[in-house]
Amino acid sequence: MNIPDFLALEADSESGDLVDLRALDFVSSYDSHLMCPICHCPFVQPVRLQCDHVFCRKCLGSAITTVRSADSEEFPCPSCRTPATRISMNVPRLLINMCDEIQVRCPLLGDGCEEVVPRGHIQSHVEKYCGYRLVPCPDESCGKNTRKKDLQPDQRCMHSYCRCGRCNEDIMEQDFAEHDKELCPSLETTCVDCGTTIPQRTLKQHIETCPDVVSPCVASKYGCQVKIRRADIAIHEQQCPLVSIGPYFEAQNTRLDSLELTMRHLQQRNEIFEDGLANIRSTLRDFARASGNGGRSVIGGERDQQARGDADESSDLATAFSSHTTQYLLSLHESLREEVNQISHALTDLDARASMTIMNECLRIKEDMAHTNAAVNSVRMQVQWLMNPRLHNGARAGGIRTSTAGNESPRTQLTSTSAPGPSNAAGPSLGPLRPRRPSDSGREGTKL
Amino acid sequence: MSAKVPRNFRLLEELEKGEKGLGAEACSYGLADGEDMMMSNWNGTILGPPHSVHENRIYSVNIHCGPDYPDNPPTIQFVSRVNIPCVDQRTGKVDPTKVPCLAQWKRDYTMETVLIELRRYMALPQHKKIPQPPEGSTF
Amino acid sequence: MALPKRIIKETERLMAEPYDYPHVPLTVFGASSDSLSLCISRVSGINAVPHEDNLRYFDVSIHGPAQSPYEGGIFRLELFLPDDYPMTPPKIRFLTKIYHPNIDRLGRICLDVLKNNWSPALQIRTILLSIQALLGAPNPDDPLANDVAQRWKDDEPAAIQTAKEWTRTHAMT
Repeated sequence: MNIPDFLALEADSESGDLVDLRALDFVSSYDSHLMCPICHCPFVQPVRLQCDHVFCRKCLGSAITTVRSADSEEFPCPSCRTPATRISMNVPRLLINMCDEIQVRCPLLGDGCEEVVPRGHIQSHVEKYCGYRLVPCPDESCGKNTRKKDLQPDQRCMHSYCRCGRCNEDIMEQDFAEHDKELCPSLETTCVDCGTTIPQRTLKQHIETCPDVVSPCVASKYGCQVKIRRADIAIHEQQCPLVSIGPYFEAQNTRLDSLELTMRHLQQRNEIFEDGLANIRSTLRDFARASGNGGRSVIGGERDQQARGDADESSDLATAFSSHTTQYLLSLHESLREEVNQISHALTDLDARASMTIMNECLRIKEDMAHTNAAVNSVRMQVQWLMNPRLHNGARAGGIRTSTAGNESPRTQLTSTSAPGPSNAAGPSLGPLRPRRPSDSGREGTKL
Repeated sequence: MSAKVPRNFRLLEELEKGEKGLGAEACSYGLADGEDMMMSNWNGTILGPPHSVHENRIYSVNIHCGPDYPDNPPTIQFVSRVNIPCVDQRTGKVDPTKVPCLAQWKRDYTMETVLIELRRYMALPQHKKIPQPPEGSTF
Repeated sequence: MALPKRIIKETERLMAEPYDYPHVPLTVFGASSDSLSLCISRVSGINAVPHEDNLRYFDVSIHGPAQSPYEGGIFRLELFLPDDYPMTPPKIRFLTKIYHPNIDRLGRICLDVLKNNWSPALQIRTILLSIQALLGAPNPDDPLANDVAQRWKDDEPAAIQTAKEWTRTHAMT
């Protein structure tokens, strides 16, 4: 159905309904999903837009007429602003039923009807069954209204006045019975406590003030058992210790109440926490099951034994048994976990120790290396020192240089091993000394 | 009974109406102090009614809306000198008992109602011939 | 005309707010109802109480949102539900002076959901939350107070400084 059609239908159906379903008093709270977003009441004749949002027919009608810009084909959904062009009267039966099942009070509660009916039936209740509804007097010339339950079977008008024989008051016929029994001022009665005669209709007030009525001390709820005449109670209350302590009790009670309230809140929170804990525990268990398959074979063996032992017990212990096993398994799991923990601790310990020893060794080796290096260096120095005069000589002698150098080299090697000098002075390496062992040159490289 | 519009929102409505100039042409009004959150003091002008001594004169008035407006009428004080029976000739204050709409004030009445009523009051046969002080003089 | 059920319900929910926040009452043990309502507003930063003689007229207070120039301020507003509410938006105005490009010197608010973009599915609560959000996100391109908006565009740090000063002088008493 498009929007103009819908509005036309809405205008036509100006319902003269007896009961305003939105003004009803709901007995219990209802699901907020059943609530129309516009009137905040359970849906009344719900309709649906393309975006699947549901509203009361009447609410949507008035929303369209106020919100829509003049005669445009579209209308933004009040809930999500999706432009809608069509309105569907086709709403799930379930929704309508749920709305109609909500319990409401009869709107004539103020007139005395205390009926509670499902909302779907309230219309017919008020129309046909409720005895408190005002209906026009059967006598058409009368023009007054009367309650439905007061209608006489013979369709007589009950609005004529008749005179009370005792008090000479004019009473409408429909109220006469009540007047006759209770309200007539001529009716008198005797107060059982003080013995005075009073008009019946003031009896209730009288009982509340009668000085002779025996009433309990105001501190009765705190344990004062005194019950005396109202006239004397003031004197008693001055002496009664419980009365004077009453306010204190009162304060304590309010404190207790507030404490209870806090307790309740704390309990709620505690429950939440416990739930969370249980959740964590179960996930942990799953995890352990998944990861601990290796250790499982051990547990399995023990569990088999356990199971075998338990199987001998009587079968009515089955439930206890199952919880027992779980607990047992859990404790096993715990101890295993502890072991794993210990092992990992030990591992880290060992690891640390090993790395320490390695480091110590390394240090020692490094020291040795340094010594060796120093020795090598001093040897080099000595070689240089030995070589220098020879080189000078060679420079003078010219041609014979090569043969002497060839003789000298084995001797230098000998001296270096026998006498490692402490000298550390690093001389510039010279051209003729270049050819060296690869390990030596590597050492020098790292040193530089 | 419809909802009772509270004072401040009622004054905002009137302000918007006055700003947009939606009211009658012969009278106008606006907030005296645009910063006043309570919107108590207003300026109004009345164009003198034709065919009277007031013709072509412009009268300016101060309007004060108390905290109980619109349950009670505003107080009106002429700034421009005018000689009509409802205006105190020393202070320029309008005597509310002499102007029907102030005397029988209703919640629906607005400041515009009052200004129009005052203009009508000036144009009454018994008032329109009263000699007036020179134009432009003030109280 | 009797007060529509919807307004009654919204009011009830606004007033019952403390019980929506189970974490709060723990701290209010033994506190009077006044400090209780303070506590509520500390959570949502919003508090609305209807006038006794006019149930369509609410006294509102909104806390300035954190990390805005209005942080720490408590802004008083008044709110009125017109006859045709919820078909028309509630009327709402700041009573506390505030330096904001979308709020004028009389406290009138320029907010789309209060004007053309009103939807009957919105409620008092949602509207107040929108206003609180507007405090956190001023929009100088759609101004109501022209001088403020211009300043906001020209020299934003100075405008924010002024907003902070106004908050201190008007909204922290």
